[in-house]
Amino acid sequence: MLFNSFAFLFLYLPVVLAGYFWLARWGGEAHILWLALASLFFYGWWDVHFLPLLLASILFNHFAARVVASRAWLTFAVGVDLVLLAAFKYADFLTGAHWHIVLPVGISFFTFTQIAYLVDCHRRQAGPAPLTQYALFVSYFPHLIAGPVLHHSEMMPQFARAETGRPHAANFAIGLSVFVIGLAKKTLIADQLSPLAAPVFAAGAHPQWIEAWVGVLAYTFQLYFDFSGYSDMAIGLSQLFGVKLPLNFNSPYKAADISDFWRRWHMTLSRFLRDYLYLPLGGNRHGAMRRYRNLMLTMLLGGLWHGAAWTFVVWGGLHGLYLMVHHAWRGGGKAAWWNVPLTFIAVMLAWVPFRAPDLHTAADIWGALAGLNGLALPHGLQHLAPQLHWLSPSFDGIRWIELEGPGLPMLALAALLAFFAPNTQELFSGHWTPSARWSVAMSTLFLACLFSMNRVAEFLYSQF
Amino acid sequence: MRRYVLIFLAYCATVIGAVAGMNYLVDPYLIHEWNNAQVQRLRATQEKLSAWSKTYAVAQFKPEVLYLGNSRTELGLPTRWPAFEGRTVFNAALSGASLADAILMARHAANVRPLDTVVWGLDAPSFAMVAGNTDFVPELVADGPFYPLRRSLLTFQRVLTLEMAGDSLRQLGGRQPRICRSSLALNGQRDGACMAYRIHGWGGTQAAVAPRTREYLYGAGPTEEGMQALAASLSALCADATRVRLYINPTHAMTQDALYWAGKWQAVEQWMAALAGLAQRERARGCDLKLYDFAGYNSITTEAIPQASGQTEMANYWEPSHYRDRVGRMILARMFGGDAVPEDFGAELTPAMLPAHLQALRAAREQYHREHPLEAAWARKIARD
Repeated sequence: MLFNSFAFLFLYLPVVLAGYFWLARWGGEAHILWLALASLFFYGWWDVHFLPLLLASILFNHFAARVVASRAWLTFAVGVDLVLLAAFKYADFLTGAHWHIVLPVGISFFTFTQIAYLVDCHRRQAGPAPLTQYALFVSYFPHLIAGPVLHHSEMMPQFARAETGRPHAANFAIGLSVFVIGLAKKTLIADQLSPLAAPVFAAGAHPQWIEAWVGVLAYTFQLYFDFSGYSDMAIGLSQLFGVKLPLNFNSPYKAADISDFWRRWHMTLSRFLRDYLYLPLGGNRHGAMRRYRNLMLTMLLGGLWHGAAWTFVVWGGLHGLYLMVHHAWRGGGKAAWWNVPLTFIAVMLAWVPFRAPDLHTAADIWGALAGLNGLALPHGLQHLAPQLHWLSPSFDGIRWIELEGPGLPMLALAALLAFFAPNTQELFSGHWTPSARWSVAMSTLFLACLFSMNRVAEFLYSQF
Repeated sequence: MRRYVLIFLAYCATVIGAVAGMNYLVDPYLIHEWNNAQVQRLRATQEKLSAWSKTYAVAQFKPEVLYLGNSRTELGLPTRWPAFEGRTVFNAALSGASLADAILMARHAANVRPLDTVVWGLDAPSFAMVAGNTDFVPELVADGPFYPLRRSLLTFQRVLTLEMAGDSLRQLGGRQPRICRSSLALNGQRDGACMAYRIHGWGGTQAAVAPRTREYLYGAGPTEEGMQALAASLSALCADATRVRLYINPTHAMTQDALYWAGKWQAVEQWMAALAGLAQRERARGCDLKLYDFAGYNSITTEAIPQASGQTEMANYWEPSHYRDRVGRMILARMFGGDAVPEDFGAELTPAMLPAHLQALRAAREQYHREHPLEAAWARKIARD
């Protein structure tokens, strides 16, 4: 069940909300149990065959948390989690064979969330939680499919508070509005950009210069609006239940350097990688070379977290390289106008292997961006051939990009919004007010999304 | 804050209720209508969302005999036939359908009730698992006791579109053209009056010859993936003891000739051989399955086009890509018995007879080139273009 589906919006969500607040009136933990069961139902809707896997993972880690004070038990428990993840996600990649294993939705998210919990129990920074609260923490439906990567320290206390189950108009007002913003990012922007990107990244497409730039830019913005839209929806939905989720995006394409980018993009994953991988590896404590090694290892594993393919390894490796170069050159110089565009271009180039089906296609697209595949112009510009001869263009037409239609204007709008508009949290902290005007504006935006939702598209990040 | 939430909910509920209510009641695309006066009304020639209306009709009608395929079968095969007397028959073929769409429809109908007979029209170009031009989303396929609820939700989703609201308003305002009947009025068969009107709009049969022949070549098929998917679908039908009759559509000889000139003929021959082998394997497992070829160069398909005959219309064809239902009756007669059929029209394909059949096709093509030089030259030009 997707957030942008009618079944979710008009059936699942109202029923779960009504049951949650009704049960919360009677005190106790019934509403927490209800929300946990509803979350498991939500997960089972995708593929009921994987529900036992999620349940087994929850039960195993819940009981493991009681014994992980010993390092041996921690190693064992984390090992079991990683073996499970590896079996489903990395079996083909590690063995080079095709096992035809279907990837359980959200397995990376619920595995990493629980590993962090076990490690913190071992460090005595967390203690064993009641099963209902723990089950809800892991399976909580707003985050289950595509994050944010939750941390127990910010979730468990909220589930334990009686106040959480009380309905507040402010939570509804803000939650609905943030959800609408996320829905609009997904349905009105990201989904419109998809047709510009998909044909260019198809194996064998061999795009030329214009197609490559439009396709790669379209994917760069599509991924941002898709994923940050999903995060906004998750945050908004959770707010309806009185539960605050951590922020996951902070205008990442406004980043002035690559470290800044990683403080703004998928912030909860960056936090996890920093706290449970980079710092335990030694962080920056043992000299420059060890720091570079740790950065590269963290980013390579971060790449593999996204998918079991060499394309993701290359993507992670590129970001590791960017971070190394950034740290090596960082000299405290003044900010220059080209910081943001340079960072953006570097990030955009790294999205190429992230999206490409294989490294050969990625290399071809990189070549096309550099002009190695030539420049083709629309047939209609043939009359400009004498003026453009220095570009050596062909006039074979644009094959993979539909020049008419909403794609290109939407790409321009997406760029303007990503670079210049306030992000969701800035909008709600500095501009939004609970006025009738804003309410009408948000409901109009919601209706626009609803009327454009004739076909339901998958969230890109649920693949990870 | 409470006022903000109330305004939000009230505004959304009002707009959603108004649009959904109007579209649901007017239902300009008949996506939840069956066997009522609404279905019998004259309407515009273009049927939108016919996958939605036909899946709904199938779920209500629960046919025992089902036709599958694309617009050729939808236009050509009548549902009233002596051999099916006393049985419920529905033409579930869809305009713009690919093989993938037909397979979805087969699964949907079989899930509604086990089918007695399936008649399935095939073409090489549309024999691919690509999404056809039908709006056939997999969620429309019936699967279990919650289907009516799921279908209601889908319908609710579909009626929330501005395009449908526009058509609803046009219908309410009496501004929708009233040209022909919906296919639902004819148990799924497209009303010939719709086609006649559209052909007239294009400038007559003569004007439609070239574009329709060219359009026939566009498909991505035949594909191996399609063959595997068809095999799986037929296995499921055979497991339910369904009688299956596959037939290759008798498109005009020009279309076959265009395939030849486009360099696709070898692929077509391999496709026919694979189909014959598939049918043979299912028969060996006890399935009542036969495959017929009505295409090629025979007395029906080689009818002279208007440019050659000087006539304004063709007797057997609307245009080269679509045959009339008089040809459809011959197809049914050949497969199930009935009126007399020209001797050379329709042959049952088996692996044993296939080499001779293909040889005869090649010879007939040469003869066609000699006897119909105008059509052959056109087909060649269209393929080269």
